[in-house]
Amino acid sequence: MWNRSPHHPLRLPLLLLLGLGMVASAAAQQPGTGLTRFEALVDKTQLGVGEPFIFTLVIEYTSNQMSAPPTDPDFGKVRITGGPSQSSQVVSTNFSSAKAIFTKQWELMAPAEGRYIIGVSTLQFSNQSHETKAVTIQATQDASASALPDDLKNEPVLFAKSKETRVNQMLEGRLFLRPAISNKEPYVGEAVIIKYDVLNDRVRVDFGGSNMVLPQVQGALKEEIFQANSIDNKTVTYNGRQFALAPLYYYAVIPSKPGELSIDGMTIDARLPTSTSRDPLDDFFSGPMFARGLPVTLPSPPVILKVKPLPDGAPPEFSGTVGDFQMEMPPPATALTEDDMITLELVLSGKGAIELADAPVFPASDDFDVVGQSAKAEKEVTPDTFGGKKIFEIVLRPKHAGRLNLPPLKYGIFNPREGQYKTLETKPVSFQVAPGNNKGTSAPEGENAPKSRQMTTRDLNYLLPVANLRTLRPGLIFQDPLFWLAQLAAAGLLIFCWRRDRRRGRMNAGELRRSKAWPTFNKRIREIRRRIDKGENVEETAGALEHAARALIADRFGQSPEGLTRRDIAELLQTGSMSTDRINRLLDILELCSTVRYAPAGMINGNLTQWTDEVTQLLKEGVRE
Amino acid sequence: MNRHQTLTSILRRAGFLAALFLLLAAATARAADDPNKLVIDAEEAYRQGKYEESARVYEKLVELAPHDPAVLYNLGTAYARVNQRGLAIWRYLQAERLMPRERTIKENLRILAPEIDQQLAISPLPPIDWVYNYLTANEWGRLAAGALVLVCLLGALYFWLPRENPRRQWVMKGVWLAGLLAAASWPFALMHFFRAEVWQGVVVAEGTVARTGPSESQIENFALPAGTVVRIMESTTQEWVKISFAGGRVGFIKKEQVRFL
Repeated sequence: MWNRSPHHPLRLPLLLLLGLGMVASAAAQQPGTGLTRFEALVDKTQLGVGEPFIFTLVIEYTSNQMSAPPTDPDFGKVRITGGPSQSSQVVSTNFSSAKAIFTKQWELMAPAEGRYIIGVSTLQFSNQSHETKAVTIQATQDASASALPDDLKNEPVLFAKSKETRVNQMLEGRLFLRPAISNKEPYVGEAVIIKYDVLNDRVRVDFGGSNMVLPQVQGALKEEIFQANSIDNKTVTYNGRQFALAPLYYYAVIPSKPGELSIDGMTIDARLPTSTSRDPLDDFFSGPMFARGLPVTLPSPPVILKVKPLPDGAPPEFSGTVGDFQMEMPPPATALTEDDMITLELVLSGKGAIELADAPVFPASDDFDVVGQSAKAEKEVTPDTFGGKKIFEIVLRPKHAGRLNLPPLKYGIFNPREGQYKTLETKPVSFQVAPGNNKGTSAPEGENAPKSRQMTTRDLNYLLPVANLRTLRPGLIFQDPLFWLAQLAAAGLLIFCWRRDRRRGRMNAGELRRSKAWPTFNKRIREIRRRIDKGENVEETAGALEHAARALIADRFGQSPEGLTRRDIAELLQTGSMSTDRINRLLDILELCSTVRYAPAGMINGNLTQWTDEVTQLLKEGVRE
Repeated sequence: MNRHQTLTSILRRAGFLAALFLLLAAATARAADDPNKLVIDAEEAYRQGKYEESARVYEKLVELAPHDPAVLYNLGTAYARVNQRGLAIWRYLQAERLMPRERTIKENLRILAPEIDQQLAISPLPPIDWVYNYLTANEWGRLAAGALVLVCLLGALYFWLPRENPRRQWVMKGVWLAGLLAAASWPFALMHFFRAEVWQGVVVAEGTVARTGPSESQIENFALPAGTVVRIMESTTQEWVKISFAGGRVGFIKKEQVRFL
């Protein structure tokens, strides 16, 4: 192509072109302030009610940083179910330049059919204001019905969704959560069973460790019937197409007021397993903890119930109970006395909110008084039925003896299946009541007392006399500190005596004897002084004094009192550092006591008191306590 | 008489009249609230068959003497006469707690509410219920404490006596007997003690229905006839209380429909 001539005709234009390219490239390298893209995007503009979709704000720019993020758009009535989440990344456009991409995403949902407009978002960039365009969404009820078999086309169904558009297209009509509603237009008080099943047309999906969002009910009573712990499939066929159906969650709703009742749908998450690697270790890592797979959500639209009010024309005996019920009353015993009570058992059974059934009203009667009522409900709830039975017990008391008739008991219900009120009736019963024995004291009736009072008061006892009006509150004794103090004191005394007894038990016989010696001596001396004061027999008193002294010395020194001689006593007392004179004086007194029978009576009387004092004093010196 | 003396005389008379007036007013007020007079009035109204009037006067008496069992019982009887079953049972139960052995109260209560024993039962064995209800809480407390003190005193005496004293064995027999009495009475005393912490109430309004929540908009759950004894679990709002009923059933009723025991 090129020849070697220095004057080629294309040489100059080519040089100029090269120069321009370099200049353009240099200009591109400079840190400029270019906002190249600011856009609002949605992944779909036509969707079903309750179907999630993604709204994204995209900003592309080539400056070093964005000064401020964009403002959030006005979403209007579109409900935000997730986000916002943000991400930033820098992408090289060529060897010398790069651009930054900032995205902000929301997950949204259209709650009802209609057209929705998502407002603009504003961005301040390089001292200029930029705006996105508003986005219009069209939500329809059956946007996804085209992929369903004909039998299911009218069902409110939303298909499984993931982040991959291609996968979503593949899942249409093949994997979805189907709510089945037993009655979309129930009456007030009528139980409606709502079932959520997963239908799957040959899609490999993993529900292990999945997250389930259960519907919340407000303004009505909800009762759970069934919640799956695992996916148990059974095969069903719709228009020749086979699906695997797995029951997921069943519950009953009992609306309490007429009007539209909207209940959010439920969602469950799952994973579509992806096998991109041929590594045999992949199986080990494909459990829930290391799950590799595409997350997918199975949503469901809200359940809308149009609750009808009960029709006019309710009979007077209408109890407010709604359901398909029957009533029975086992025949009670009919032979009784006035003192007996009759217990009627009315059993209401059938389909409906049995727990809410009110008790029947016993009509005013000249023959019976109602003295008690109770009720007990036994529910029978299966995936297809919601009902049970309720047993009402009414306790009656006969007002008088004779033949008493129980009229039929009427119980009005509204049967939603038939759409009309019904009165359930028991059969009349006749009782033969004999006079009773236990009448009690009849209350005297005043002159102006009405003749026909309620028979419950017939046998009431009369008034009690009121004397010494108790105006003070009797406090609870357990709150009185003295109550506990008295017991603690007694327990303390017991412990003290017990420890004393233990100490005493640990002493040997000798120690015990020694410890008791002085108390015993003192006791004897008191007895001796008493005898002297009373002028009792002198010989015996003197003998007692001698015995007391000998016993003290013997006990303290571990000797026998009868075997102690004068010399023994002297030796023992000398060990106590008692002087010889004192010891001799003691011994002399003891000898005088023993020979008192020979002494003149007048002399002894006066001396005994003195001897007693002296002996006590001397022994205190010689015998340590 | 000069002006000063006239003024003094007038002031003196005015003071005397004012004091007389105050005395009369106080006397009148005192007479109106005189409990003895109220008792007489209430009984007279009852005798004449004016039961509603009698109940009104007894209610005033209850304000003055809220813990007099005779007043409570008589008020319950007056209510029973005017078919206020719930209020009658409430007052009877209050009276029975203060005088558990009074036959009159028990008879009237069982006439009005034969099922009351079942509602108040603390054990499945009727003899235990009978013993439990035979004494008041304070009586059981005194008996239990007295028995325990007796055990301690006799035990102290036992340990105080010398070991070789033959009287020791008799004292030990006394300790055993007192111990048995203490062992029998303390459980009942403690039951009364813990039961005092439990709030009980009586439904007094006819047509009371327990709801699933503390609001009129909540679903009606079960009916509670007047006179039903319930356990009050908590006061959820200023208007509603949470109650539990026989068999563990729980519901909400309005405070005005129940009275505390």
